[in-house]
Amino acid sequence: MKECRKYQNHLVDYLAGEVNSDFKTELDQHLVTCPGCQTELQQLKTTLEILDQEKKTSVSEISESEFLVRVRSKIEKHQRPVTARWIFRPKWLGVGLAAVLVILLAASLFKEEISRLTNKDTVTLSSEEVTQENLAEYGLNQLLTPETDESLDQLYIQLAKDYYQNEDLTTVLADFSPSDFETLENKIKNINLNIK
Amino acid sequence: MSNSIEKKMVPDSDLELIEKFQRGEEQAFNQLVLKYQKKIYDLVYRMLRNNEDALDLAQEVFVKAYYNLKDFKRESAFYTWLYRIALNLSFNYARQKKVRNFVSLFDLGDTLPAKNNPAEDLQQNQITMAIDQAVLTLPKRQRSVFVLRYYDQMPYKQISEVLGKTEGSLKASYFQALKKLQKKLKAYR
Repeated sequence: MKECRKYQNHLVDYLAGEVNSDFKTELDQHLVTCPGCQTELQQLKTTLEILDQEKKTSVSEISESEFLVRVRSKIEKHQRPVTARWIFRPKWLGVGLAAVLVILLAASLFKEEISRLTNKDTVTLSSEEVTQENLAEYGLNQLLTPETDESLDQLYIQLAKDYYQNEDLTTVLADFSPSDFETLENKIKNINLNIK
Repeated sequence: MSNSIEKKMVPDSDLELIEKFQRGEEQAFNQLVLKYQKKIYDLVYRMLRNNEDALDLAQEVFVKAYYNLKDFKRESAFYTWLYRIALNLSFNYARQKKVRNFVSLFDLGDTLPAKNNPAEDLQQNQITMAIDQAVLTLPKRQRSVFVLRYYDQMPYKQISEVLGKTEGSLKASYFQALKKLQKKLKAYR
């Protein structure tokens, strides 16, 4: 059975005459002695014949020039002014920004007020609690400076830009090489192992 | 088989067009569209099994490419990158429109050649519809491999570059895809 599995993945190529001569000889010999693989081969052949009936029917022809015009039209439609894009910005952008704000605040707290916090018990604030009043209570309200606002604005613009260029992962994934996928797969496996 | 694809896809020429586009020559992008529109349209049609959706989505593939071509890393050939975008968008599109459960009879009519014998037409329609439905039930990877290998006749090496899987696993996926189609199409044997 294990031996059959080794050959079955190559049966389609065998039918198409796309296996090398050494392997073909080996497969021929196996087929002579294995009724299971013979049946498998025959069934595959029949399935391919059925599929071929549909394959012959051509896909609708497209007008080359019209296709290009439509692509160009869509590109122009996407090139709206930035202000118009902001009106239709996706809801998740707000959630993302809230997360960024919390991370930035946490980073600022850690960096600039570490000495103050080390003199007190640990204080945890939820995102709703991060207000001017609460920060003032801990003497941290000066962290919300115009510079911080400006950085957040830039981040917001970058996020909006990213959204319209990568509204899903399609292009990100398209840049992935096979080794990237393997690395990612290994990382995910490691994370799963650590969780377990 | 590999020769036919290699002849149509010349990476150097694509890179030249990409460089021109990145320097601001919009015309270069038009040439890329003209060069690949048929292949991308066919690929998307085979994935979605619906002409109208395929036309719309194939255009989206190029819009997506237009906006991201400036950041194209050149780690892979342009067509590999374009095929990945097309496959990823196809799955997103299918999920959004739930085309899995919908195969248009009007659309099928467009794809079939006119015949004189109505009985033959009907039988052909039924087979086409059954194949459409069977293909749409294939899992993501198996469907991608099946479409690239069976319809596009892409060599495993190139499919491996597009999907980021080993040739051995692709052969197994292709075999499994055919086995599933075999089960779904047993009534037509």
